Amino acid sequence: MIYPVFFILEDFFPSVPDLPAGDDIHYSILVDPAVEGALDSAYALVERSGLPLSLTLNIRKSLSEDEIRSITSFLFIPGYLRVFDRRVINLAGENPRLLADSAKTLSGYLSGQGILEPLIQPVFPKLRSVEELTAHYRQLLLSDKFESDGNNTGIFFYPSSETLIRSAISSLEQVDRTLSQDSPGFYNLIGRNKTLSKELYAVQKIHALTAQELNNQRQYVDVLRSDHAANELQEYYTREYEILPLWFKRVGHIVKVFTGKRTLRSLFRDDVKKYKD
Amino acid sequence: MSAALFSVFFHNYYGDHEAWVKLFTQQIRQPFILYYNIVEDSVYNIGDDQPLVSRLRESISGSFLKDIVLRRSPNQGKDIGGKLVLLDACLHEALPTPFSIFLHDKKSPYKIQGQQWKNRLFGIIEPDFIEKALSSFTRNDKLGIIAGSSDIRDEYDHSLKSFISTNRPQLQQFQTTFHINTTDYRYVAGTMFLARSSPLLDFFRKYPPLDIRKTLEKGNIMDETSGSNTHAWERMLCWLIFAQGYTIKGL
Repeated sequence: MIYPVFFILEDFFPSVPDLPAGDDIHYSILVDPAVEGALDSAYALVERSGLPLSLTLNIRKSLSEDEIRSITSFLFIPGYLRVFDRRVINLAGENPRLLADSAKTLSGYLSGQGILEPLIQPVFPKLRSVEELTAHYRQLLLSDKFESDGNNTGIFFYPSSETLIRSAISSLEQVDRTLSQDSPGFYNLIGRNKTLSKELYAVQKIHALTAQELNNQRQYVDVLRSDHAANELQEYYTREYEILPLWFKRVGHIVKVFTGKRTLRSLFRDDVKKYKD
Repeated sequence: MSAALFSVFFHNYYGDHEAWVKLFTQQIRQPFILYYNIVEDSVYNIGDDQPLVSRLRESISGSFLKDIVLRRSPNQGKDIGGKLVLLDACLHEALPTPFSIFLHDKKSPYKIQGQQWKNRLFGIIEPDFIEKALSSFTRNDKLGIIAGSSDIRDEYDHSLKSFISTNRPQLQQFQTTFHINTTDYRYVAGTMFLARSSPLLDFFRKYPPLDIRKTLEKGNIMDETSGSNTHAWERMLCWLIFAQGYTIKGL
């Protein structure tokens, strides 16, 4: 798929392993956080899903602290959907101001958890028929909103059955095929651009993490070189060994010989191997 | 399937996941659930999770490892932040295990004796140690924590009535905020220990782990020269158990 499509699973949870998978085909579970037990049910589904899943939150009122915390728990599950490493949360609802406030509140809490750039996006428009979806998809591909590097917000489709998901994907693939036949050069460039964008992202990530680790290692070396480490070792030596009486230490060396830690000859001569490997 | 006796909370920064899971399955001879946190912004942990999850789950069959609950989180609060993510996951489970084991892939590359320390800390999952620990927990129902005896520390100076620690301001503040009323200020250096689960989970049901985690410092934190919330919580993980009437024992 050229343009990312989110299939928002509303009234049914199909057998997730059987859902068609593919590049830029995403699945999201519609949850009303205010309904008791709804987030818990979705949590169990995301935990055991073989396919990456995200949440689409039906926002009817401001999110409570408990709800925000529960939503955050999802984002640590490895199977939670990420696009370019950004965790995706879709917000659905009729009140744009409430959606904006919810996005802000969620972002604030997630930032506190070290999740700095979640992809929190409003669900608009809500598409419910394959015809609407296909028309919207085609229109977006030809508009100036289309980013050929794959960094697009999604299209949101509410299928009422698993059959409709398959039908929608088949229809969208037909749009892609038509584009590839009408404008093969353009179509190939889009594919190439997406691939290169992903590779660039992966390389940039490795670079950033390596630079960060190098910085950590510098800090460790600084600590090791500082007086702290030497003092720690000296204090340990003094407390554990140096304060013992000389006769005890000498007996200790004989014990070492008996336990095979030191050679017998080294007790009498300095020019022989002292410790056994 | 017999019910798990232990929840093992393991935080990983340095990768090598299959080797770690293999170590746990070899060492722990009691039914256990492995809660496993991977630091996602670590250069040692770049890679796709899904094949890893499948491979790790496959390694379960036939061992005492009953389930793996994997989590992936940003580097915040070092191993304490990771353990809080895992405790949050654990609170979603219907039936918590009676005992917990806290571990992480400690390296302490800035300490000369880091490797020896790590080896000693991992002694708590030796089969003999676990047997003795279980026996002690059974004999004394007020025993909350068991750790290696040489890793139990106390930074409280009773004559000065104060902590000899760079983390003193944070410790005093947290005691008040979280109503930790204890006069036992021992803790386990390295934060690897066995604990009775009930006081631990009771505390975190009241004070959600993620709310605590958001107060922890991001990235690579050391308390060589100044204190941190993260290092203060190393101590608090023990004290919150003592505050509920339990004690600690070194083996």
